[in-house]
Amino acid sequence: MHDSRIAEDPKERARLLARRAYERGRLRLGLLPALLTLLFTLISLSLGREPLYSGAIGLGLAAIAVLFTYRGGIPGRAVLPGLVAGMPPLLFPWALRSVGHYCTSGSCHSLCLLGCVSGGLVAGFLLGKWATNQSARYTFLASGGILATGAGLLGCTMAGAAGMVGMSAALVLSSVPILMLSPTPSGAR
Amino acid sequence: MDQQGKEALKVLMIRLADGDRTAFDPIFTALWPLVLRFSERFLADPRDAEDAAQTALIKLFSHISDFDPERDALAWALGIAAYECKTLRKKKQRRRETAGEVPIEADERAGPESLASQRETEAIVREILSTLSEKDRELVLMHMEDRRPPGDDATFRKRLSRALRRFKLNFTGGPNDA
Repeated sequence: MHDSRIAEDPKERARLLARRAYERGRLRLGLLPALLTLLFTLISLSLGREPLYSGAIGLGLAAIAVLFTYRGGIPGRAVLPGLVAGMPPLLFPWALRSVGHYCTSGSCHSLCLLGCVSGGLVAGFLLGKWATNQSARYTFLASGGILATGAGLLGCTMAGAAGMVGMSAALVLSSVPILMLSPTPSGAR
Repeated sequence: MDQQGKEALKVLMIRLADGDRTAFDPIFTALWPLVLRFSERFLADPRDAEDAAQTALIKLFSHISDFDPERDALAWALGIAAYECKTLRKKKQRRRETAGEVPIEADERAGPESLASQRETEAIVREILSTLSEKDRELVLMHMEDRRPPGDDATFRKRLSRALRRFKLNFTGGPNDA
């Protein structure tokens, strides 16, 4: 409808303004996950490894979280579970470092790698469990998995490429079987 | 709106809260006439009613993600509209008071003729008030709003009585007008 007609017709004007308000409200919803990703990025930066790399992953993760939340639906519902599931692979290596095991840029103690892999396993298990309750379980798992992997990558920078690959593989390996083995509810995909 | 309509509205609201944009238009189309009619009953001026209905729907759609599926969708929408109507009415009242205008509340249940008559009276009273001194005007307004200043009540009553006398004289076109 033409703008001048919209301005004249109170109903159309209200419809347009209400629609804009709705879209703004959706964007506002993305603030909480964005803040959470900011916190994750700060934790990653505090590990003191590759700030540029952490910043880039953090930015990408925030963008995906806001986009998924804004769009809504299954990906939107998977945002917070995905970020929460991403906490173990983010925090395990960090915790292992703070209890005395230290990773340097040249070499990393095996416990860091272990932290990443075990964190990935826990993340995958949690996501798999949560996805079983969803109608579109694989879409939920994929969306949540992207966010959990992003969060995990932020923590596993200190374990190098091996840690990152190990964490991602562990996440997939522990989540998909749960979905495959659990009974499919009616209407689930 | 019957029970079936209310249930359908709730389902649509849940869908929209989840991000399903196809539910927007049916919700708006269902709610606009209801919220507008509700606001018109609350507010005398149809333009105010339109403003209140518009603001209410803007707020509703802005916060639809907070919609609790356990609640009645229509009651939620009308609750927001009632709040907006009250806010608008208070705002107008304050504006009138700040401008030294007459705090006459229109009876929303009255018919159009009665409302027009009320408006006419309001305009006359406002005009007469403008002929009074600032002090007298303040006293008459306080009297109309049933307000009393703290302190000496006897002095206030005496001043009010004089101010009201001058007001009445102006109203009836007495010696002060001449």
